[in-house]
Amino acid sequence: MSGFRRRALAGLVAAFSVLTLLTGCTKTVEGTAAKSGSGDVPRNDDSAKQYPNLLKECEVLTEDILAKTVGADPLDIQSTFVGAVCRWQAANPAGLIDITRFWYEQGSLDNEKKVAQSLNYQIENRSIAGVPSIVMKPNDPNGACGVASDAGGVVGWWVNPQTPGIDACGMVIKLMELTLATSS
Amino acid sequence: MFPECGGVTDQTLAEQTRVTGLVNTARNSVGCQWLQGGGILGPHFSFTWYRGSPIGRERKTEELSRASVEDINIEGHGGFIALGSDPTIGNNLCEVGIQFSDDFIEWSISFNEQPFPDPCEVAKELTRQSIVNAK
Repeated sequence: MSGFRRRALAGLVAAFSVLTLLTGCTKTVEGTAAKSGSGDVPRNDDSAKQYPNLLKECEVLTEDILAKTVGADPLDIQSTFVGAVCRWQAANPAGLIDITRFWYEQGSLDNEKKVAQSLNYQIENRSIAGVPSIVMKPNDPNGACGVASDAGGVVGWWVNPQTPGIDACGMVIKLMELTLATSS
Repeated sequence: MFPECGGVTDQTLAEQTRVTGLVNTARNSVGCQWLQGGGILGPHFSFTWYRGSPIGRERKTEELSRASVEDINIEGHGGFIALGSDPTIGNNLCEVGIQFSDDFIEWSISFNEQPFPDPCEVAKELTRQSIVNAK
């Protein structure tokens, strides 16, 4: 899902909860202070219980690490899409870079290979941090490059530079090494 | 199997959204993202193909975040349609997710300034085209 509006809405919900708490506390009451949002405000958090990583799965690597890996200032990266697929844009001095991360928990490396074949990408089998993986190269003038690894279903990264001359394959392999190190 | 970008061209995207200067900034096996001038400050449009990923989780995320989420059926395939609203410019965001057994696809249409066409009409039409384009 688009990342922009969600973030703004989350802020609104938080602000509303605080407001509710404040108006409810105009007189002194007995009891223990409770975290904002933990009171009587009805909320649907079934999904958060079922999928504890629901809203944090884009943060498997911090934005600082992402920015550094693609040669951008940590202040020059912005999330644009969140969920099982996450997207960011970062500013490398040579040009803008779009980063995509995917985690298909019921997917497989074999299936990713089939899709890459059907899209006529160049595919290289490779072991990353000891995990069977593929590196994918479309016929892209800016040198886009992707990687998929056989972990937790299948997990992967894409780097799409907006200008040529950026080592996108080096970047996605580094991102995958960091990802696989995180989950071990 | 879906082709890259669900088989939707940059030209079709421009016609449907009525936005000029769109750049396809993340064209790959996961999907495509179109941004005005290639930067993040303008409208955001994207196609995403989730393979082996539950549509229920994405729908739940939408239900936690959006003004409304409803069932939809396009070309005989079921899924959800989520509408988002901005306090200043109104209903500016629409996301359509459609299930294909263990997979689903999602079109996300988000405008950032008036005037703009109905985002749900755009999302539904692009979804319809992607389903027709699937092999």
